[in-house]
Amino acid sequence: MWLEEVRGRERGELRARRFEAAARARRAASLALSNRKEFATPHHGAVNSLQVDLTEGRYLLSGASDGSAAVFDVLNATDCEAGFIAKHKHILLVDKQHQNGHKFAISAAVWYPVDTGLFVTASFDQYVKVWDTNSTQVVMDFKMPGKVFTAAMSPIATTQMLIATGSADVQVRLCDIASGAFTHTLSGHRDGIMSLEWSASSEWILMSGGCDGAIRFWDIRRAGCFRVLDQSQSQLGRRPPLLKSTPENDHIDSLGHSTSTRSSAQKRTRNSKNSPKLRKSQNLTQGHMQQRLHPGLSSSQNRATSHYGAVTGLRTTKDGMYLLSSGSDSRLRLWDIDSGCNTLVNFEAMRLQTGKPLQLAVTEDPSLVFVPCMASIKAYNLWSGMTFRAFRGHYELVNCCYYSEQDQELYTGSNDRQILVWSPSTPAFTEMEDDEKRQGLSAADEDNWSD
Amino acid sequence: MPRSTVSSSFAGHRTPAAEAEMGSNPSSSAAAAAESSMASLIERATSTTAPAVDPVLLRAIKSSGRASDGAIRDAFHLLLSLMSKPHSHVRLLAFSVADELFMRSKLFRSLLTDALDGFLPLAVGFRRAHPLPPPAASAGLLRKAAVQALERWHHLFGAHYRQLRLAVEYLKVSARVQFPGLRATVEARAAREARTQEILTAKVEQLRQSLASIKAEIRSTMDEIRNGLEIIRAEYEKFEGYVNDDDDAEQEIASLSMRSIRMASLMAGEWLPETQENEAVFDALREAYRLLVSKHLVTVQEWISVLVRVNLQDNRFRDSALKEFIDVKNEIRAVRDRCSELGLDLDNVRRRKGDQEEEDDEFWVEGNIEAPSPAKVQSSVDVASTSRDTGKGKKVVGGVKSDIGKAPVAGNGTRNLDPEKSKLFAEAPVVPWSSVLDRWGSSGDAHVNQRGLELESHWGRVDNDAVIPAAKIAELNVHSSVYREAPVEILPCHAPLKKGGLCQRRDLKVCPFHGPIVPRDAEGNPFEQHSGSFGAEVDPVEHCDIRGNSNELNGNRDGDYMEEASSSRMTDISNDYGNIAGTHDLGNVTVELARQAIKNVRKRDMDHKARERAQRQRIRQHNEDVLREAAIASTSYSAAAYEQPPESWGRRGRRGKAKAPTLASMLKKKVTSKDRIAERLLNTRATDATIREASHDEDMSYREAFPNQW
Repeated sequence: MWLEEVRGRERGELRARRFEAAARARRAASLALSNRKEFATPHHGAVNSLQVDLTEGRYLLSGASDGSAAVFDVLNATDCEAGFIAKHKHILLVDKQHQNGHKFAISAAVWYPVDTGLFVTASFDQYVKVWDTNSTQVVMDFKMPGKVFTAAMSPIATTQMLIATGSADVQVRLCDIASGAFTHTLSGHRDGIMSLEWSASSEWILMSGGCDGAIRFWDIRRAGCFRVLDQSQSQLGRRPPLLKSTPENDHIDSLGHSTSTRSSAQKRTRNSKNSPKLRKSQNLTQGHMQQRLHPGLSSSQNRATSHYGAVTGLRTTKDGMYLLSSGSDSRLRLWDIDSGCNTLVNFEAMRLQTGKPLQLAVTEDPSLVFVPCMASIKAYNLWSGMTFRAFRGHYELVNCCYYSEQDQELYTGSNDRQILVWSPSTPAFTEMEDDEKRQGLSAADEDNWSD
Repeated sequence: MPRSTVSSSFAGHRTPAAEAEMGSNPSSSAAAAAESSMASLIERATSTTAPAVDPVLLRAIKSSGRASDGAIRDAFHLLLSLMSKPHSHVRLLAFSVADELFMRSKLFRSLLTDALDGFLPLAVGFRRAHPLPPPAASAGLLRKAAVQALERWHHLFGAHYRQLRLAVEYLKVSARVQFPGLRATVEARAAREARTQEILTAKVEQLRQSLASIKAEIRSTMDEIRNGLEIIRAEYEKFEGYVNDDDDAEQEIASLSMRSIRMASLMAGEWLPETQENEAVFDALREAYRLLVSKHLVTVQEWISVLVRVNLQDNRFRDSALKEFIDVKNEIRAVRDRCSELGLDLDNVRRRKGDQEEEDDEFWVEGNIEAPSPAKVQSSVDVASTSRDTGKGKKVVGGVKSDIGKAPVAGNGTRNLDPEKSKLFAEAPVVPWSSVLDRWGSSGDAHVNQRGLELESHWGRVDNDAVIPAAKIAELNVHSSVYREAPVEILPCHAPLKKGGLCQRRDLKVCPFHGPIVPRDAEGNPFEQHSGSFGAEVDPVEHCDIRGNSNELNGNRDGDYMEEASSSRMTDISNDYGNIAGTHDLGNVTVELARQAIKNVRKRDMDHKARERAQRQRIRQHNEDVLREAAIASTSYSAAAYEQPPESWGRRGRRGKAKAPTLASMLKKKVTSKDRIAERLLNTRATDATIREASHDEDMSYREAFPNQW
């Protein structure tokens, strides 16, 4: 099959993008615990946050409960064990011994989206700190009114560099690196904010999930929240594809860019001009809301919840059209961002941690979502909700996972201090490598029946 | 959590895997049979109470596993489900089977490592929420076996399975499970071995160069000794030639027996061919001998041990060198033996010479011993010395002291001294030795620095002429003595015993069995007892009084009272006897009798008190019994706690005896005698506590006030 595709590509029957997408999808589907690559963890506590930088896709930033944050090079190993096990040691570590280190657990560590010169850590010691990567010094810090659960920076922002922070306080605060001040305090939640996510399509849109079970959408250019997701407001299935002609498979990968741009365009126009556009029903609700509720939403609308219990994790798909949310009710929900409706995808039974922010991961063609389910990570098919597979390897609760689009690798961090690498396993390839390196090994991994 | 997820995932795994297996080879019924046989084999292997898996079954399992992959998969799923059983022994057996398969089958390894995060908690039990199930003994074994196996797996296959590395790291660092570290110790030992081998090889290389020189050196030393011996021998023969007439001179004796005799005589006497002329020879000999024994012999032995231990590729040099060294060693031994055989124990010779010099120094002492003393009678050296030298004050004091120490001996010894001296000896005080004796009799001032040493002090100048005034010294020398109790012999009771013989208890005044201690004759009769014929003259009033007393006491301890009565009667008798005897006897007897009378009165008083106390005790006992019965009767619960229902005991015992041990029986807690005693104690304690609780409050004051019957 692989060879067929290669041949098709050679003949020009298969277009480059589709070829690439197929290869990515195949690799993503074959993830397994990597024996060739491992991170030597410098942390003495649970790993709470993982992110690979957005510019090079090379540096993994991890934040842990012992107040330490570390940076790993995921491409170049620091040393090799037994000939083929690449060990990646941290290339940068800030911990409690550091003069400006966090006193308590780091709950989130994120890269500055524009380059790898800065990163941001949020901690339970009520501080958000901005670090210079090269000098490992704190450039700036922001004191929050409570434990900081999460921090997020917009991956697509070009006009602002705001750190959105969610803390035990009810307000979302936006910290401006340029000025060192809070530019916004967004009030609306009735409890602490566990998760934050910037829209992948508009740099002004921020989504927040709180302990009160609500997911709120904020347009940071305007006052107040403009949408509260309601789990009872639903639409059946995903949006019908815009281009009826494109087949299902094609849709997933080719839709990405065109729709995302269009939808952001839609959003922008809708927000600004309130021009009726797409479907009627949507339009009606939209108009209804805008007329009656904004800027102060009606109480019924304002009280809508998306989960029973806290919203512990939020993740948008790469194309910015869908939002995944996990809650302490052990449910995963897929929301259509455009319509604000629950898509009613029934994700199979899972059990989630309740007291901690979770970091979900989605493949870049939104086909799989990786969810930390207690001590394992489960991959669900995004559209059907079926369990694709479970990744077992951690010995304690898993807190975060990050899917690296560039290498199609999954990184997971857990309470057992480990950061595990799940990489595409291609048996033929590894066998070949094994054969090359077998000579130097002490004990070959073969059948050994003595009797 | 882990157990439930594990079991569910196992259940989930199992069917699809089996289906896949069936799908992959649907035709072969043989494979299915193998699977079923595998399942049944494992079932049989793990459902025993035996401490280990039956090796026959294990071999069967292995052979069927070797036959097909399907059997391996089947075994894997079955073993996982067995590992989640709440019985440690089943888990232990399952684990040992899994270990065997893991070491052999790659497929099994890949299957197990994927499920390792569920498997390990079941085998090691490191999660606090899910400890290993009972029985505890098997659980301990399982944990140990699992940790050991994991270490072995990690060592052998860790490079291929990230899961194994993770598991070991997690157990070591996070769960803090102690690994036996067998591998590490083995490796450390190997490393040590290698290092010593390296050193040894280097040494052997060094030896290769220096072997000839070492040998030459030893040879030369031995030659020197031989030459020396030759010279001495020659000289000796010469010497023997002209001292033949000397009475105790040695003789050169050829025969061995005579030589040994001569050796013995050499030990005692003096073998002295060493004179001014041959001293140089002897010195040289001694030097060479010491060199040979203390250096060369040791070196040779060291080299031999090195050569024995070393491991070389080329053993030729080693063997030849070893042979040579052994030869050299034997030669050295031979030389040494020859030296000692000839009586030339050269170390001894040297020492003997030293002794000689010392003896010269001590000539005065010797003379002292043999010097004739004026008092020829005494054999005691001490006394002799005192009597002899009177010049030194110190010596005199020492002599006096020794005399004081053994006063009786001195007494005997001084019988023949002049009368004045003996008188003085008689009245001399016996004092323990102390520094006081240094200045006995002198009453002058004493120098502080009496030894006349030149002292430098840190604390300032020293006044060398400082003097302690005599008054002060007298004050310091005031005698003190510790009171020593004169040993008192406590006489035995000597009352006749029923089984014959006399009571040997030694009490000061009263024997607890036979009453006051009185002087008795050889049969144990008290000396006063022979006046028993006066029994008819018992005071009737006294007797009646006692009787009445005993009647008062409910008469339930008649024997006791009889005894008491008789004893009191006896004292009365003696009293009477005293009266009679007093008329025609001395005051001595009256004193005795008066003492006896006082004793009698006291005893009666004490008896009365004891009786009262006993009475009160009995009443209290009775009351408590009543209360206890009432309390028990009031609650059936406490009654149940008080006594185990007997049938339960019976049943338990019967089952334990009749049935063969099963896996289920291993789980049951064994009731040991310790448990039973603990339970009993607990029960009685509990009931006592409740009774006390119940009765205490309202009754306490009343009972204390009126210790009567209710």
